[in-house]
Amino acid sequence: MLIYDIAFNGTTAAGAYSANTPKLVSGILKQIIIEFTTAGVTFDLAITDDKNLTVFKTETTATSKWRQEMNIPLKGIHTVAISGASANEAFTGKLMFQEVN
Amino acid sequence: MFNKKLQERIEELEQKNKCLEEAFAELEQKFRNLDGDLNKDLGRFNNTFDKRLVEFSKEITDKYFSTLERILRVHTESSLVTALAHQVNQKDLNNLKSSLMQPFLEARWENEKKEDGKKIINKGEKIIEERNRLYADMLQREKQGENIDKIKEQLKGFDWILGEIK
Repeated sequence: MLIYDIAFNGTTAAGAYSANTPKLVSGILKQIIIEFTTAGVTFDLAITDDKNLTVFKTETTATSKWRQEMNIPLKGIHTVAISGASANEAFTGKLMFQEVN
Repeated sequence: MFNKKLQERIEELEQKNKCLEEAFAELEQKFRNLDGDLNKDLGRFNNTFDKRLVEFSKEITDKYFSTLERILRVHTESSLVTALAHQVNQKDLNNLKSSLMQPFLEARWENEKKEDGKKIINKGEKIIEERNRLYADMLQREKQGENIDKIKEQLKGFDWILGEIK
């Protein structure tokens, strides 16, 4: 079993930020962690595939430090997007993947 | 009887004649007075007129000489340039002309740059929107497996502009 992470860092502008993952071959998204440097920032997060289908979306608005475990198979390049952020702040985060053979 | 009436008539006429003479004398005196006043007024008018004429003449003469001086100065300068022009070759003359024009051209370019700069600032919102549109387009194309190097280069330009403005 191979576990690897993809870093997801940046600063929101106009309450939004988005970036593409590398091309995923056969991975399962196991965990997402996002942490804003300033406390109290609320935001939403969504992941869309190469056909703009939403493969994941936060059910409720996340706050500052957010972590969620999941089991989502992903293939190809995906866009990870933060939207509706209550402040333009810097954040750090990562996506943890488990590769399957 | 007739003589008496005649005598009375003659006395009457003499009396009238005397009145007329007095009236004439009075009129004559008035004419003499008028003449004197008129001469005085004419004299005053002549003095004023002469004074104004002299002032006007001086003004015109000063302007004339000032214009003449300017013409002669320009003529001298243009003669000098013409004389120089005949002594230098065309290439050097062109260089001279362009070096004389250089400060004016640079001032004009500087002004144009400022005007264009203001226009860019005024369109800042559109620049931000276009940058965001380009970025979203890049993400989409990357997912499709397309080459996004060109878009990345374009984004670098936009980000530089926005960085400078902020």
